[in-house]
Amino acid sequence: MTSSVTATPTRLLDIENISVRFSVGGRDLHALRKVSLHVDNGEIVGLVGESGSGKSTVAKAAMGLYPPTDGTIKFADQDITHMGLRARREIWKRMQLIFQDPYSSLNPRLTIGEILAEPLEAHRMGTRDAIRARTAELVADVSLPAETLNRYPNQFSGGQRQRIAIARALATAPDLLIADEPVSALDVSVQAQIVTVFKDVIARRGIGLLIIAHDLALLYHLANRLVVMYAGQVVEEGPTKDVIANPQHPYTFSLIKSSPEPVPSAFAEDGFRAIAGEPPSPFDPPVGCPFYSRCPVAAPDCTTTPTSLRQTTPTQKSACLYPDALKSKGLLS
Amino acid sequence: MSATVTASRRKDRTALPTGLVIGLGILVIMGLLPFVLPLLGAPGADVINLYDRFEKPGSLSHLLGSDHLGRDLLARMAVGFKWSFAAAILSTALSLAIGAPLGLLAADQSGWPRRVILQIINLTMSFPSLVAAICLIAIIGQGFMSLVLVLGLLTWPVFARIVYAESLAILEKDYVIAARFMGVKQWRILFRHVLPALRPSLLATTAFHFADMLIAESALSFLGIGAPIDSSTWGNMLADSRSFLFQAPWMMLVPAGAIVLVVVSANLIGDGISTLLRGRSQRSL
Amino acid sequence: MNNTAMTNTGPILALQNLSVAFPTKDGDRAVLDNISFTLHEGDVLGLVGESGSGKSLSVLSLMKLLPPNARIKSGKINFLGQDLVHATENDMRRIRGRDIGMIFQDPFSSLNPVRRIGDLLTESVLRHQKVSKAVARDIAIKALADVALPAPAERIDNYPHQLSGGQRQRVVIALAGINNPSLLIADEPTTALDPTVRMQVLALIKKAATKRSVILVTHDFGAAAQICNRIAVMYYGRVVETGTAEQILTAPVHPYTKALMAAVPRFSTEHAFAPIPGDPPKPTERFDGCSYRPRCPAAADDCRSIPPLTDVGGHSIACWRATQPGLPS
Repeated sequence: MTSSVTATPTRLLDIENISVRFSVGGRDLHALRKVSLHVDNGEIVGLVGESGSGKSTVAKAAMGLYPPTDGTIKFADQDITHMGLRARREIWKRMQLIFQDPYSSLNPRLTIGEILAEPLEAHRMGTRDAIRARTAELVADVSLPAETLNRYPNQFSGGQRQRIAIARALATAPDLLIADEPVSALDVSVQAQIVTVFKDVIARRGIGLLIIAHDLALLYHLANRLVVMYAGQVVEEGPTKDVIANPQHPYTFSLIKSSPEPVPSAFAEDGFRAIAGEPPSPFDPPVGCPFYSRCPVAAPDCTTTPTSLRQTTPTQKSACLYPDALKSKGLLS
Repeated sequence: MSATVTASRRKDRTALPTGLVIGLGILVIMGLLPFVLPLLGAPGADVINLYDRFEKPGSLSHLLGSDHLGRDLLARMAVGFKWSFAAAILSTALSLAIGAPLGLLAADQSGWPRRVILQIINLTMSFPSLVAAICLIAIIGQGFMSLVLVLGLLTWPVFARIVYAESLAILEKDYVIAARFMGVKQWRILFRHVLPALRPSLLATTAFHFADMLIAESALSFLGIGAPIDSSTWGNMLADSRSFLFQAPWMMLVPAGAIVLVVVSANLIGDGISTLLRGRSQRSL
Repeated sequence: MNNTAMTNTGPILALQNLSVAFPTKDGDRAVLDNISFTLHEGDVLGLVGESGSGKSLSVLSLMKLLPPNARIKSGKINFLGQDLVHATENDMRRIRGRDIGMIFQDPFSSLNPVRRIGDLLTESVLRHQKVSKAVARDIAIKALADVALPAPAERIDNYPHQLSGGQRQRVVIALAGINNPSLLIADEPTTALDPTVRMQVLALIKKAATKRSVILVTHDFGAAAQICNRIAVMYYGRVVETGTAEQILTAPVHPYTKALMAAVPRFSTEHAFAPIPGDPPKPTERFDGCSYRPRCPAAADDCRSIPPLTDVGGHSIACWRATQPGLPS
């Protein structure tokens, strides 16, 4: 929004080595294991993984819903790992969450105008008239007509509702948006619409976006940088173009191959597309690489050597012991 | 574009369930009776006429018959409605006024306030309520206000438990969590998001509870510890009828029928409200 | 076991000009308008469209599982030589489960949580085949092995909650195919699944298609491209374009097909990735002529009358811009 945006990027969110454990029926569920990631302003970071990989837990930990058992979370250089509720309200003003299901995240009893005014009233951001004017700007920002304000959520489609949810998240002019699977509840035909809104909003405001998704092809069109998670760990990280063109982890590779493209009989050409098996149990995470059991290029020592993220190309980091195996085994050209 | 949509929704909203209409109709008629009857020249509820004792229902002077003192049963029933209705409504209101805030507080405060409130609820509900009512009335004395007070104090956990359970579920909803992230203060979340969502079940519970209170009031009066003995209430009418059960069974049937009628209409209203509001919230989902 | 389909040389299923409507106070509201398609053995037909396009209603109407207030107005449904429009509920109960298998979107709600998966499977076998309980159990174990459920002989005694989402969807597929139906209907079978599991499930459905025909209902062109040999694109209760998967995927003609395809993200910057302009029509909206007209970049005056599904070079399109030569497209 201001000219300072184009200057040196500021680190908005900085998650360092966080672990999150839940106690479920007396057993420990390891939701996150030493996860690190960061988001700068003006940047769109895509966090991808399957359900159970812990990607949504990262979002909730960042918002303060799940206190990490280990590690630190910083927002704009301020340690917010164990921040109290009063101080966190000020953080929430600058860091907003967009929920997966636009049908449950908007109160069905309030008009869109009331929904959008709520954060502005809560933070006492202006007079009644100023707030009204601001809500009108917000709906315009997500390309909805002004009469939207007088309607109720049930008068809108899923895509329109998600745009309203984005408008609400933008109300307090936050520096960072976190979107937790914002398109997975929507028809494919509407997903592109939401992608366009995000691109537009981030470019115009120069803020940061951490977007969680399980569709890698969608993130390919939206994110500048990708973070790939598997079984509670980050397995690969790097600029989107590099990660897609030259995946450094066999899981990333299989995700790319699992992305159904509308190409005739794409399926028949490549038997590897349907990768077998399922992720390990989060109650009993393996010592070595969590992807071992499904990996097409696994080596014997993968089961015994604990993995950690390391620089494998000038731009990418990977947790794979043998990031070149995909190429040497001819799976990747 | 959506003009047709809103039009059709408005149409739905006016379509009231039949049960609700019937229930409300009966209550309105019962409520108007004490005012209409004198205009039609009917005898007063307390007019004793020893020549007209034990008149059978259907006679010209006493449509629903008369009692052992020759008093008109229709008039007594009509006046009794005022008394019973007032007692049931006020004790329901008291019960709601105590139970709902405590239930909300228990849902909102996960620490010791919740434990304490839940313990009080369990304790209150574990009393045999009739015995407790008799003891309390013995302490504070008989009368209209003490009846209301006792019923309210003994039955608020009904509301507290419903409000507690439903508020817990609503507090977990995405839109409530979203409001918290928006910086909305907790009390405002409770008033703006939780309470309005409770309205459907609270309204229905209120109607059902009203029916329960009506029965409880009659039972206490019947036992002689509710309304003052000389007032014309349904409980007192029932108590009077005991001695003449075989001689004049209508003395029992008139107040009993009135109680059943009002209880059924309160239940119809409760059902109607929940159908109406459930239908509406389903459409909005 | 041996179905009549094996000896039948004609189509397995033929829908002809099927129209379905909901009666309302202001007259009938058409939800399906003149739907036609034909399936032969081995065909995998993709019914592709957005929510509200009528793709799910099409399969529900041929299963005769329409909502109680919906009525088939006209048209024919011919399945293995039987007329389904006039079939009784008794006939349909026999046909569903034996001749038509169904795979639903949500593997969590389509399996009874208090029944062992083995009971669900053997019960279906016993209902439609004259075999002993022991044989039925063997058939069930074999069916679970066919969908690559690990350790099927032990898993058969599990309850649904003991399985993962992907495993549950495998059980649903095994259940749908256990009586060797001639037709398998899969309604959004992959929507709720993760990418890698989605591919596994699509692979299983494709494998199942070698012995029968399949209808895949989906809003995702990507999923349809993986396994379908024929595709019918639906919009607002009508088929707007239909042909072989090759034709539709490589040379789509109808503006809606093109837009829907562009909305699927690919790992390529050559293909436009763009939303469909405008919003999908609400069910209460009514249109004169082509229902895509309000969103269509190529709409012109003649689009105010309904374009018929017309054969153009081997595949059928319902669009005046494509079928009337000499007009700009």
